[in-house]
Amino acid sequence: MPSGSDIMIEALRREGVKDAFGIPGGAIMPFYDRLKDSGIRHILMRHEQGAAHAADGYARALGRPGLCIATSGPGATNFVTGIATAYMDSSPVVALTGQVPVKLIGRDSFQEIDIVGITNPITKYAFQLKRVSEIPRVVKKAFYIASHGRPGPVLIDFPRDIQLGEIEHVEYPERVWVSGRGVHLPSPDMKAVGTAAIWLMEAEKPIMLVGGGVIHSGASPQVLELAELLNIPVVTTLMGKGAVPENHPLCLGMIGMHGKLGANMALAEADLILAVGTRFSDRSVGPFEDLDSNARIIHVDVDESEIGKNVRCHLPIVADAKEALEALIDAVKTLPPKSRTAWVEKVKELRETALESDDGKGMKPWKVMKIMRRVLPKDAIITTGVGQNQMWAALHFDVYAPRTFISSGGLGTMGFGFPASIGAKVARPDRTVVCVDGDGSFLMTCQNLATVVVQNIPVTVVILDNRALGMVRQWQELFFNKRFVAVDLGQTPDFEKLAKAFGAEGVRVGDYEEFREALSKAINSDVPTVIDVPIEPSEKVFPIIPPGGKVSEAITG
Amino acid sequence: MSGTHVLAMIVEDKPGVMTRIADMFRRKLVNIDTITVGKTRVPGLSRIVITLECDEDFARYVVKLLRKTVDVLYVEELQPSKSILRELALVKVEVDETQEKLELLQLVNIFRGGIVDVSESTITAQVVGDPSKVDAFIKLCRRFKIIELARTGIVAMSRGPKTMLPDELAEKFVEEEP
Repeated sequence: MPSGSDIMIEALRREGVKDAFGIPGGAIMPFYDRLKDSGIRHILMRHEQGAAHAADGYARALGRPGLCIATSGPGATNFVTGIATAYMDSSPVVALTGQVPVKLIGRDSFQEIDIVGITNPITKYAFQLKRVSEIPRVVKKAFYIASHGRPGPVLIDFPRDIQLGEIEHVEYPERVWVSGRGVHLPSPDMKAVGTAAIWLMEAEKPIMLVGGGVIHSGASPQVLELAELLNIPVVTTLMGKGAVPENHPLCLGMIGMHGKLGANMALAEADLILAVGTRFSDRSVGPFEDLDSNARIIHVDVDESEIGKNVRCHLPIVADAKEALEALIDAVKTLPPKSRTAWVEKVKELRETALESDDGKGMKPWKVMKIMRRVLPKDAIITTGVGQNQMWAALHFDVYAPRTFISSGGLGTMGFGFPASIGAKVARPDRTVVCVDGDGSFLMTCQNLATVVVQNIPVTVVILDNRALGMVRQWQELFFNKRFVAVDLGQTPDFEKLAKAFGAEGVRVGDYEEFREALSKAINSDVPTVIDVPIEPSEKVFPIIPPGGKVSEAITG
Repeated sequence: MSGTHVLAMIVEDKPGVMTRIADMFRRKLVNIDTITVGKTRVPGLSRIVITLECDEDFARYVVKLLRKTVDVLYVEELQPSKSILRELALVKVEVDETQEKLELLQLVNIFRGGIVDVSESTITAQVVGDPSKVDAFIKLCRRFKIIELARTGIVAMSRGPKTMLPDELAEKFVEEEP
C-alpha cells in the first residue's frame, strides 16, 4: 500500500516537479526516505532560508513553481524570510514542511511550531494536512494557487504520521476548484480597452510604466509591440527590469528612488501613464509629486486590489497583462496614427542622461558592471543581493530578456542573491548564472557555497566588496551627518580564502583587466567561483532621491 | 468620511478561514467592531458578517482584498438602507425594589423584548432588532444596574429577491471531506 510520502511524491511528480531544495530533519524523514528513489533531484542546502530563496530563484528563472522542503520547528521558521521574499515579489514558491504527528499538534511537542499560523500573512495559502487521502487534492490545489492569478507562495504542512500512514485507494484529481478571485486571470473589459486606446492617441507625452507583472504574464513582446507601434517610451520598476531589452531606443530604464535620471524625468513629464503589472510601490513612485494629477493613469493589473491602492487611477483594466495589451494593440491599430516629434526627441535626449563618473580612486562599480555586460552572454541570468550592489546592477547592467534579472525587490532581503543564483542555475543549467552581491549580503547566506561545490552547480559570485554595509553607510553619510555607526565590516573574511575553504575557486582582482579575465575564466569553467572586487567604502549609488524627496531633488554625486 | 460599513461574505467552513480574514484587518490596522459567523443553506459554506468603522475607500479596498482571498466565495458591502440588520442582546440587571422591576418590565415590553431569566435579585432581558434599537434599549437600561451585557454582533441580509448565494454559486462549490 502506498504511504502518504509515496502519494506526496506522486502528486509532486504530476505537477511536473523535477527539482527540490531543502534540508531534512526529524519530522520530514519518512518523506525524505521515499524521495531517495523518486527521481526528483534534491539540492541539499546549508540553511533553510537559502532553500526557500533557491526555490524562488528557480521559479523566477523558469516561470514555474519552485519547491523547497524543510523539517518542522526551526526548519520551518527558517523558511519565513524566504517565503516572505517570494510573497512580496509574487513568486510561485511551494514550501513543504514536516510537522509533528497530528495527535501531538498543539501540545508544544519537540520541534513543533504553528508554521501555518506564522505564514498566513505571507502566503497566498497555507495548507495543514490532516489525512493521507487529501494529499493529492491539496498538492494539486497548492500548485494551482501558487501559479494562477497573481502568483505567490503556498505552504503545505505535512505531519509525520500522515507521511507514514497508508491507504489502499488513491485518486489524483485532474482538476481542482479553488474559491476566491486570487486564482483568476480576468479578461479585459473591452470598453475600457477602447477608452485606453483613445487616451493613448490623444496624449502628447504618453509613457509606459512596466512592472514585474509583465514578466509573470509573459507580456514582454506585447509591451514592445505597443511601444514601437505608437513610438512611446518605456520605463520599468526594479521588478520590471528585463521586461523590455534595455538597449532598445525606447527603453529609458528603471525609475524610482535610485532610478535613472532620464527615466524619472520622462515619467514626471508624461501626460499619460500606461502602467502595466506594477503596484506603484513607494520606492518606485514615492518621489513623484502629484503623479495622478499631472497625468492620466491607465492601470492594468491582474489583482483588482492594486487598483487605486497607492496611486489614484483614472482608468482601471483588471486583466492579465498579455491579454490586455493584445486587445489594446488591436484597438490602437483601428485609430489614425499620431506623430509626437517633440516628445520623441525629448526621449532621445533623456536616454543619453547617464551618471558615470570616475575620480580614479579604486575600481568603480559602474565600470565593473559594464565590463560584466560585455563578458557575459546576452541571455545570462543575473541575481543580486540587496543594497548598493543591487542598485549598481540595476542601473549599470543592462538586461535584454525577461527572467534574466532576479532580485529581491519588495522585501529587500539581503542574502537573497547567492541562493537564488543556485536555484536559477538548477532551473536553467544551459545559462550562465552570475550573482552580483555585496560583502554584507553575501555573508548572510554564503554557507551554501558547500552546496554548489558538492553538487557541482557552477555559478559565479561577483562581490562588490566595500567592507561595509554600503547602503546604510551611504545614508549615514548623506542623511545622518556622516555619523557612521555599525556599518564597518572590517577586513574579514578573506573572500578568496573563504571560497577556497569550501572547495570553490576564489579570486581577488586588482584592476578592470584582472576582473575581465577572472569573470571570463569563471563562466567558462565548471567550478563555482567567487570573484572579490574591492571598491572604496565611500562609493555611493547615484542618483539618489532623499527619502521623502522629489524627483527634482535627486542627488547626482 | 468615516462611518459604519457592513461587509457580508460567503466562505468555506473550515479551520483557518477566520484567522486569514481577521488577520487581514489587523494588518491594515483596522478594528473589527462586530463579527458573526454561521452556517448557510449549503453544507460546507458559512456566512460571515463584519462591521467596522472606516472610510468608503477603505471599505471598497477591503472588499477587493477579501474577494481575492482563497476560501472566500463571495463578498459584498451591504447598504444598511437596503438591508435587514439584526442583533440580539442579553442584559442582566440587578433589581431589588418592585417599582424598579415594573419599570424594567415596561421597558422590555416597549422594545418587544422578553424576560428570559429571573432570580431573587436579577432580571435578564432579551432584545432583538436593528442595532440602533438594541443601542437604545441598552442606553435606557443604564438607569438600572446592568451587571452583564452580551451582544451577538450583527447579522445582515439584503432586502428583496437578491441572494448572496444563488444556485450558480452553490453548485460551483464542491464540499470536501471535513
